[in-house]
Amino acid sequence: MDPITLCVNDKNVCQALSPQNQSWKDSLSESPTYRQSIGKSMFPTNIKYIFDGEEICNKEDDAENVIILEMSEGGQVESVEMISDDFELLRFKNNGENPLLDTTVQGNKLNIDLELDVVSKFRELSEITADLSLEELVNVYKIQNEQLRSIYNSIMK
Amino acid sequence: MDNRNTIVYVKMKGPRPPGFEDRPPFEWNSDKDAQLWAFISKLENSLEQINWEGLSTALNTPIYFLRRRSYKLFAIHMEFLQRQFHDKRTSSVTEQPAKNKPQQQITTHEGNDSDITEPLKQSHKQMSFHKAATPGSPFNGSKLGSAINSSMDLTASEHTLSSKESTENSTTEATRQLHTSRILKYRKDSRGSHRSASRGTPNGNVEGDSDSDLSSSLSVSKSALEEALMDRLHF
Repeated sequence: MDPITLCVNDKNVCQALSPQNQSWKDSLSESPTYRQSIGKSMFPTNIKYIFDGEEICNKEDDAENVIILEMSEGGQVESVEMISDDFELLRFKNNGENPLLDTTVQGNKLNIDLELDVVSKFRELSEITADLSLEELVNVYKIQNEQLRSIYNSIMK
Repeated sequence: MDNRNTIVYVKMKGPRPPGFEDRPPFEWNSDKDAQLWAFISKLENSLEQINWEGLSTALNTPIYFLRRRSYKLFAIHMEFLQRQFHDKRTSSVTEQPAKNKPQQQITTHEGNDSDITEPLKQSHKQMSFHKAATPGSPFNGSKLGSAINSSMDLTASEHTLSSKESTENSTTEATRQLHTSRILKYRKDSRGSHRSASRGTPNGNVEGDSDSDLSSSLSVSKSALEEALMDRLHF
């Protein structure tokens, strides 16, 4: 069984607008598809497998974020839950279903390369948006609006 | 969020396989991502050149993760390239009609001030949409972009239909106004003078002077517009 790999992308516009992330800022004027492919990426690699009859025991008290993946019998990701004060889950995607990737990793039965889009806490934007054009401001608004709608929909489910 | 402050639990169906143990966590961040890309993007030929074990040792990361990350990095950069190609193609397609449309509308506008104003406004809106679809715009090569482009096409087709209907109505009105306009008078006079000159009219020089006066009072663009109008109205 191949291990799961996980990539978490923070889609908060603050990441895009920070001076350190000029390329991400540029992406504000790019297509949404391209925007989705970039962001502040994080790689949680502390992965614990819980099988039938086992309990989740959180020995590591300093854990600030907990991600729970529910797997089906066929080895597919059924659901993803994020418990965190700092992040909200927007969506997830399993890139491991790509047949090209299967051949790359020798076609193991369980092949999960999971990508989570999350959003960190919204922050005051007035200072960092001062030098933005109207078009960029409109895009910032659209991104945040879309994120809020996604969070709202996940709450209402 | 990293391997220290975040735990991922994976709930599996069935009992734990014998000898199965969780893999030890490792550190991976954007710096290592950049290092990996710097290495793999400079490869000339095949993946066989990659010394995965050496990379694994250098970056202190398991091989399976390096392989998957490499795939992902290539995929992201390929998408970036594709997007650039798409933008170039889209811009070359959208710029062409944007150059042609204003000429058609302006010729009509010159001919008929009152009736053609509305289509001109619509055309201006259309041009604004075209402008929004130029490179660098957020609407390019995206789902949102394609939705907007399709609505743009719809607007364009609606406009084409409405302009076809309105063309017949406006043609009559335009013709009436053109007959009273200075441009048409000039055309008629010049034709008349040409005819009279060919007949050997004695005051041909005087007519020639009046022609030159008229032509000087009319700008080059107006005469070009006049030609286009005549073609359109089948004169």
